[in-house]
Amino acid sequence: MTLLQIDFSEIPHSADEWGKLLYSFPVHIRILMVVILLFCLVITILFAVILGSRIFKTSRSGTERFIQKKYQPVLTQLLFEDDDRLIADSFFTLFDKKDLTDKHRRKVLLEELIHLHENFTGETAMRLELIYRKLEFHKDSLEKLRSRRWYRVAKGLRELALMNVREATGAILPFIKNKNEILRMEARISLVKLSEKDPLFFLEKETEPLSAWDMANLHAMLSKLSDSQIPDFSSWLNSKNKTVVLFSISMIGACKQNEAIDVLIKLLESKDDAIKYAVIKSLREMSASKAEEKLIAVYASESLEIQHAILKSLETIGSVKSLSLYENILRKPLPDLQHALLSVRALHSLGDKGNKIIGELEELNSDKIRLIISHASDARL
Amino acid sequence: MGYFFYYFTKFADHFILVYSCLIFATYVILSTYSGLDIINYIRKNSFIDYRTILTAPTAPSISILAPAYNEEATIVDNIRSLLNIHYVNFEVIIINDGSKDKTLQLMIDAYDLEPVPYAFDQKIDCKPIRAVYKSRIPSLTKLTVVDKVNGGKADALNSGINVSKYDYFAAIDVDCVLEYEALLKMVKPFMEQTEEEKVIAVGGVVRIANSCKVQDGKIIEVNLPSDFLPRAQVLEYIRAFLMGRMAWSKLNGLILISGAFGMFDKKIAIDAGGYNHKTVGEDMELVIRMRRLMEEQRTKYKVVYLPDPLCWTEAPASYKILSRQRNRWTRGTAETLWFHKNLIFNPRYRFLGMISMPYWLIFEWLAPIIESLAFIYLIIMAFLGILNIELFITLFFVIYTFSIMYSTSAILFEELSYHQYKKKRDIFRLLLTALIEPLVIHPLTVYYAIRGNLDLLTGVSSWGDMQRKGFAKKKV
Repeated sequence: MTLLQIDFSEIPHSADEWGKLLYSFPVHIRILMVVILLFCLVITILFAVILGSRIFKTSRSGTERFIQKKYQPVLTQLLFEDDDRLIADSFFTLFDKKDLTDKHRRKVLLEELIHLHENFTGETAMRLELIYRKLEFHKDSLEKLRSRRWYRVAKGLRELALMNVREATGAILPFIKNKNEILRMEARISLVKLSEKDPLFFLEKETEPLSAWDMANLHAMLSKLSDSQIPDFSSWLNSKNKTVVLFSISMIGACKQNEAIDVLIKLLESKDDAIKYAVIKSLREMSASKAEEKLIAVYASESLEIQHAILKSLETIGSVKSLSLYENILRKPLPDLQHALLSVRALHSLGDKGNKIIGELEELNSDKIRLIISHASDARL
Repeated sequence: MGYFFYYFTKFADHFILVYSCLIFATYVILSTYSGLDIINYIRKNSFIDYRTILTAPTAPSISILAPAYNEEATIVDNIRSLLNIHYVNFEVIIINDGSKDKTLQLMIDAYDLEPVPYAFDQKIDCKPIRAVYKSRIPSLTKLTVVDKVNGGKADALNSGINVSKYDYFAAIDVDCVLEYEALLKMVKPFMEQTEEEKVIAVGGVVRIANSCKVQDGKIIEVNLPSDFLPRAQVLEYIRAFLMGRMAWSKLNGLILISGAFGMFDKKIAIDAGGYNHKTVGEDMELVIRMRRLMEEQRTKYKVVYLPDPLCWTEAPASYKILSRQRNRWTRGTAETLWFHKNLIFNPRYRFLGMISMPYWLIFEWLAPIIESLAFIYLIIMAFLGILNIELFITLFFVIYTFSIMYSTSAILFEELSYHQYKKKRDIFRLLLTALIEPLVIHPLTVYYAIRGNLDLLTGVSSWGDMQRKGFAKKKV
């Protein structure tokens, strides 16, 4: 029986015959056969790795569950009950030596403490820090700083900051100049948390740009500090690093450092739109009515984006002095929609005098203005 | 004639071999690159607390745009799911694209909507908007419903962009289920951008939700699809998303962000002209146009891709629906490549023109055509009795074993990275699928792609009805 050109009666029966058959093929076919075997070998290896990984993960998660289950009652007792064993010598009897010496078990226990600390504050958090120190986990975290792998170093930095290991400041400091941007950021965050006096001392010498993400992280860490620890951000407004200036401006607004309002108003003369935008936003956050006249004065010469920010701020800080500005915007034959909406809202916020102008505008024979007024008057939009 | 035929067959044999080798090589290079990048990404983000974004004054505000067409079966639940997204400053805009069923009325009833006077600039062309609705319920201020004349998905998204308030928008399929931290993760690359390099768009991995359990708009139990067809698509999606797009993103050559879920810089999207409603591949077309704009302006930019499973969608569970989907994908690719043909091999557009676009032309759009032609060629050769059967069989097994090897690598990627399918038997089922898929699903997808090209030539331009089964809901 033949199919195409294959004669099935010629199929070899012994290894010798198979060998002869193999060598009867041209070289390129033999090469392709080797490729097939190679692919089969790779598939087998990949399969073995998948299975190995699955077995390893199952075993690890089993250990994790075991450690968590074992120490849950111990930690509950140490954290929430008035247990003097936290400071007594019997403390160590609560933990199995094997769990503290085995690398993986120790790691699981540390992660459990870290996880708990992320979810607690106050007395409980302090107790967790004490347990962390007594079990000498801070040495593990410091050891991580010596690792060649950046992600281990970053983890170490996070742990030291979270657990308030203040003596680690010296070991952390060199990382703010590290080439790796993640390590730089982690070092900055850690220093904010651990520095006792001046949490942002490094900003003065900061030459690398801060991204919005870096700023968010610094902001999050600063928000955990007490008011007395928050620095005067106006001291960095002259920094040569523009992103440091932007961060300082936004923090002045967020922390409501009203004593910096005059300096911010001066910064409205900056040639940089990003700086002006940040200043206007901060002035709004501080409800700096002092800035109204300056904002009105610079309005006409600014870009659409800055004008938009000014109008948004005037809605909060503006007074009757701004009435003519809003009226001019709305009486234009083709007003910018966003500006017009903001102007109507600002007029509403001025009460009777503003509403009177809105009434006059409504009487104009313009469907567009009427639509803008209706839109702006609806608080949901 | 015989002389010509001899050289033609020699050329064809070598062409098939070289083309196959090139495809293998690109797959291996891209997956290696992806693997390294995923490892780096996971390490980089393993200790990050995304909640930081929630309190950050620098966090951007997001408009979520979800077009809806005849979605009466699921629309109310879908909106609830979108409103529960874990983020601070966002609005949800549902665009009812002229649905013929009760989609709009159900939304009005469920969310107590009323028409409101809404002034907006029509920055991008779109079909007329009939009304904009807001809820009377004070806690639902984030929700806006736009009712417009039917114009297709691209047109609906353009309406959404026109109505949206914020600087960034996320385009999402209304029936997708988002991961809890999806928006936080998508926003982070925009927050990491610098003045020197703009992030213009961010995409995320889309996963298959068939057989998964969904409760209150959240995936609460990930299961491998029980049916073969969606299970084969799980492998396909892992290969495409985890092994392909990650590498393109790292190379800064990504030109496709899935229409199911992607986030964009609104100003750049508007400057580029918004979504193109003349193609069914509007997602890819927009990314190319945005990239093109940046290249022409000589602005340094990137399109970022995240390997995290951020969005879950229901894959076609029947061959009929799959054929419509693949047909549409092929037409979308072909149309987009045609619209931007002057970019291909154009050095002015650097990586986009010299690598990304040619790759999509040669290895994505042309691949099924070449595969089909090669198949026809082999049949003719066999019919004429001059088929080199030894070469044919060995080549077949080379391609088959490579496909299995590639899929097994995909399973390994999944296992070592996000480990979504935790049941022991899942691995074996996926491996079994990897053995069968190249023989069953692949020929079908090639056939659907050919049909797509033929439909394009004959002027078919419909989206294709995509009926879904709906997610399995957890019994409470």
